[in-house]
Amino acid sequence: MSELFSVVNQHADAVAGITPIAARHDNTSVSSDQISIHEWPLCAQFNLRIKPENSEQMAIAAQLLGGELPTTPLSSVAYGHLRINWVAPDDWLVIMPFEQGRTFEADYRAAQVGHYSIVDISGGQTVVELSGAAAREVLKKSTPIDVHPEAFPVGKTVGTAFAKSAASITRIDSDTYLLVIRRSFADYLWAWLMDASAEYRS
Amino acid sequence: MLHIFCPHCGEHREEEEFHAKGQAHIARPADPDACSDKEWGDYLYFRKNPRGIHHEMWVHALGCRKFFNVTRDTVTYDIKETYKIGEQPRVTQSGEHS
Ligand SMILES: [Zn+2]
Repeated sequence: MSELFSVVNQHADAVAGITPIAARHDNTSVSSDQISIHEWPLCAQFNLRIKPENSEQMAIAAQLLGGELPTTPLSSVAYGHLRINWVAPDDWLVIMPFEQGRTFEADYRAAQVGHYSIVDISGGQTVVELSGAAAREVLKKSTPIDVHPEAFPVGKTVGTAFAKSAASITRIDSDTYLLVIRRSFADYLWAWLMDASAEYRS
Repeated sequence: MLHIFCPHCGEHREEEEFHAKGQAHIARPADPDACSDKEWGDYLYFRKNPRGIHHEMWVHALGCRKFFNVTRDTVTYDIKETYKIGEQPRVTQSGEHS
């Protein structure tokens, strides 16, 4: 279980029933010896856009994030409780605990210069962690992405199709993957995940 | 299914992640008010429909969400190359006129 999850999960009781998945499912966490799946409730999420060749803007972003925005395509990095996924050459997704996110946008706007974009997209999507020996098997049922360890090393992040919906999949540890999914698809995708993982939970 | 190389992500992905967006390299007239109706109509509505090599735009809709160009053979569906917006194709139909 990742460090970021242990922080965001402190809010689990307070947010019962109101996260995109908890609103429609009694249980937002299942596990067996082969797989565990749970929602990271109420993460703060931001979409950052700047030109990577603008070193001044990149440096300001790095200062606020506690580390540099990853410029290697398809790479994901973590700085403390904060995770950053490369989305496109000038486009990143930043995920952090709710509390940390309260002031992030204001701090970023106060510090950043020139032409840039920061959008709070916390309400538009939610985060699901998939871990365990069978996590990869569940992914194989759900996405056209090649999840073989050689093609999908730890620290790789992809935007792709997931059960005919859209998702970002990030391998954050050997057997642990993060899914970032649309809020409006969360109900359907949770039901899909429960079905796809059933054989590893019985 | 086509297997398409995204020049931004730097790897091949399934067609399911992409959408086709029509003919590439269409320059918007610099001064639309100076266009005749025919010139403006050609720009807005008329597209090539070649048998063979075609340069077209695609968007990596579920991936990096970037547009890029594809040179594709409309007979065989063979993708000859993909390249970023602003770049020129290396594969062209012999005798093709733009
Ligand atoms: Zn791409």
